[in-house]
Formats: sequence, C-alpha cells, structure tokens
Amino acid sequence: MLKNLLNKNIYQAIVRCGITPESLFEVRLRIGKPLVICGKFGNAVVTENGVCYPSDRKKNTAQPVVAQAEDVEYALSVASGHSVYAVSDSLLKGYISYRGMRIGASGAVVSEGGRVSALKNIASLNIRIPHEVKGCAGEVSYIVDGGLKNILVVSPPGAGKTTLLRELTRLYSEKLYNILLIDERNEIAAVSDGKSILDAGDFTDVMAGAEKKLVYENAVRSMRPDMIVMDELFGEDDAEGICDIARAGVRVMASVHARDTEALKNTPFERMLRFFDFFLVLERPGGKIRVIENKGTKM
Amino acid sequence: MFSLIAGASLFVGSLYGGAGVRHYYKTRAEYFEGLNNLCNLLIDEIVHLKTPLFKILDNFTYMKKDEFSKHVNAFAALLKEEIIANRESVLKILECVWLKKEERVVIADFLMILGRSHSESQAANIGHYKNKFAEIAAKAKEAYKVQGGLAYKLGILLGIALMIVVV
Repeated sequence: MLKNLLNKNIYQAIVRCGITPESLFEVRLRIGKPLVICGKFGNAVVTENGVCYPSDRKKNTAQPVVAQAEDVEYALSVASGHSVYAVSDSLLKGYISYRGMRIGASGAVVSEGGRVSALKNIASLNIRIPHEVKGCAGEVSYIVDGGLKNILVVSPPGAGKTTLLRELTRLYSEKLYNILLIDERNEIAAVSDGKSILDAGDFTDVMAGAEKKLVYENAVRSMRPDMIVMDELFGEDDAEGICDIARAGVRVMASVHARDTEALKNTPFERMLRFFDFFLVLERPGGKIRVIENKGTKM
Repeated sequence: MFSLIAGASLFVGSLYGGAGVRHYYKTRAEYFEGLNNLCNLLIDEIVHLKTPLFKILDNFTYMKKDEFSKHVNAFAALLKEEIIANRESVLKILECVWLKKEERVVIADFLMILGRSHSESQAANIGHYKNKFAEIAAKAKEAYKVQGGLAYKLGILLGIALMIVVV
C-alpha cells in the first residue's frame, strides 16, 4: 500500500534504513524539510545513512532525506486518483483516505464570504498507516463475552484507539451480532472498491466516508443494527447522535480523543457519558487498557 | 498504351497528393475540435460531478479512433505509469506532423494541469486553455475549408493537366 503511495526515492530511503515501511505508524512529508517517520521507536528522521533518533540529532552528521514538492504531489496524486478536485471536500476537513490510510494535509486555506472553500498549495502530509492487531483486545474480551454493551474508547491521538475499536468490532461480529460501522474516515475497515481491506468482522455492515450525523437516523431504521460503531467523536453533533442512538435502544461503541474520562467533563461530551457501560482508556500504543465500569449515572 | 498508363498514374498521384494535403488540414481541424470538446466535458464533469480524471478521459475516447483520442489515451497511460507526468514525455507522445511545435507545448501544458488542483481552479485553467484552443480550432477549420479544398482541387486539375500532356 505504502509503496504505491510514496515517490520511489522516499520509499527507498525508508527501506534503506532497514525499516519495513508497512510497520510504521506514520510518515510525514513536509516540503523542504527532513523526512520523519514514526514507529514503535517514536519519531525519527530518515537520513542518507539510516534513521536518526531525536537523542542522536546533535551528534549525527548524516544528511537528512528532504521531502520535495513533487513527493507531496506524488502522494496526493496517487491518493486522489490524479483528481485532487474530487477529494477537495475531504481535504477541507484536513485529510483524505487511501486504502485505509488517513493522509492528513495542511496548506493554504482559501476562503470566500467567510466560508472555507478550498485547501491549496499543500505543503505537508501526514500519512497514517493503519495496523490490524488481532488479539489486542484480549484483556478486555470479557466485556464482549458479557454481551452487547455501550463502550467508549478514550485516548489521545496515536495511542491505538482505532486498532482497539476495530478488534472489538470484529469480536462482537464473531458473536453474530449485526454491527453497523460508520467509518467516516475509512480507517477502521478501509473499504476500497466495496471491499474491506481490514477485518472488521463478517457480520459488520460498513458505511464508509459518510458523516456520522448524516447516517445515524436512516441507518437505525434501515439496517436494524444491534450495535453502531463509530470512530473519533467530535463536537456537539456527534455527542447528540450518541444520545439519540442510545435512547433508540441500539448499543453503541465509539472512540474519542481525550487524555482520560475526566477530560471529557464540562465538554459537549459530558451529557453522553451516562449512556456508556464501559470506558476503555488507552495511554500509549501497546500499553495496558484501563477499564472503567460506569455503575451509575455518575462516574 | 504506355502513355495512357503513365497519364493515369500521374493523375492518381496528383490526386493523392492533393487529398493528402487536404487530410492534413482536416486532421488539424478535427484535432482542435476534439480538444475543445474535451475542455467542455472536463469543465462539466469536474465542476458539477467531480468525476475522476481517468474516467472522464476513458469516456471521452470510448470507441473513438481519431488522432486526438489516440493522444488522450497515450497521455492517460503515461499518467498511470509516471503518476506525475514528465513534460518531455508528454511532448513526446504529442509528436506528429499536424501539430506545430508551439501548439504541442500549449497542449502539453494543458494536459499537465489536469487533476492537480481543486475544481474552481481547474475550471478556470481549463477555461483559459479552451479559449486558446477555440481560436486555433477556428483557424484550423477555416484552413481546412480554404487551403484543404484548394489543394484537393489543384491536385485534380494538375492530374488532369499532366494526363493531357502525357497522353
């Protein structure tokens, strides 16, 4: 996947470091700046002689591999099927999806009449590579064994929320529950040409690329799911949607960016917290999952 | 008998030469008309439907065998291979006798902007090239009518004259 997306020189520079590009979490391309990769080792700069970690930067004199404008354009062209205009709405939200990879983009914002109309002169990309880690939910599989529950996965960015959510979805699906996955950023199942690239379970229906609030109502009526799964709740609309789904009697499993559940208090999400049975808090990738059971209306 | 065959051959040769010149002008006129049509299709599909570029190009060339469609197909193949098409490679696929060098440069520049920006910018850029191509297309059409027609008629007349002289 990553081989197709990256310009040959960038891909080869990573491979030369002895790193399997697919094992990385992120690749960051910034025009005129060193190529940065992120893996289990944290962040590192790719140089002509190998990887340079932050602690070695002062000592290491090797020339870093610098991303060029054509490297950014190459990745954008591949990800958009050479049709940047076709993904401009998605770019306005700050990302585009390519085979399950989320490519964050930043550049110059074009606005018109107080409305953001386009993102142009894209200068940096953050390519996030999804990882399917079957078994990563082993320590919390007893929750799945206990039947359908409302579950909220809480973690800061990059700690493995989506991976955990995918695995829990797969485990519920294995128990023959009808799961509806609202995969707004197409990261959980990574649907490409109608097929899921990542395994979210055989009994999971995927609504890919659609905004959550556009899908809730119709999906509850038409797909009759036992559980709705959605990634990265954001803002009041999503919080309201969770309350509506829970009130409708459908179970919900979602994830949200936060340091812990305390950080969600006094935010638009506070109202929805009472609906969740379990909070799974992740602090870092591969770290222990902290389980908080919600036993009352107050946590 | 020999003079009759020689006269007929000269007539056919002259006619063929005239038709060849007319064909040159005809191909140019059709080529630029094709470019104009592609610009219209691109503006519609990109602005209103956001159809992916390769699909637009495929639809445009479907079942067509004219010279412009051949170039469009070659460009699409190049883009699939190189991702960011190299200017020299684009100019190379546009090499042909019916395009002048400066026209090839403009067409290459036009092809190379396709798909590389948001829809408003694409529409503005394609519109700009469309005006250029419309101007060349009008001239090429006129040249086909006047010079192409003239060359064909001259070919016939020259053929007849040569036949009379020889026979």
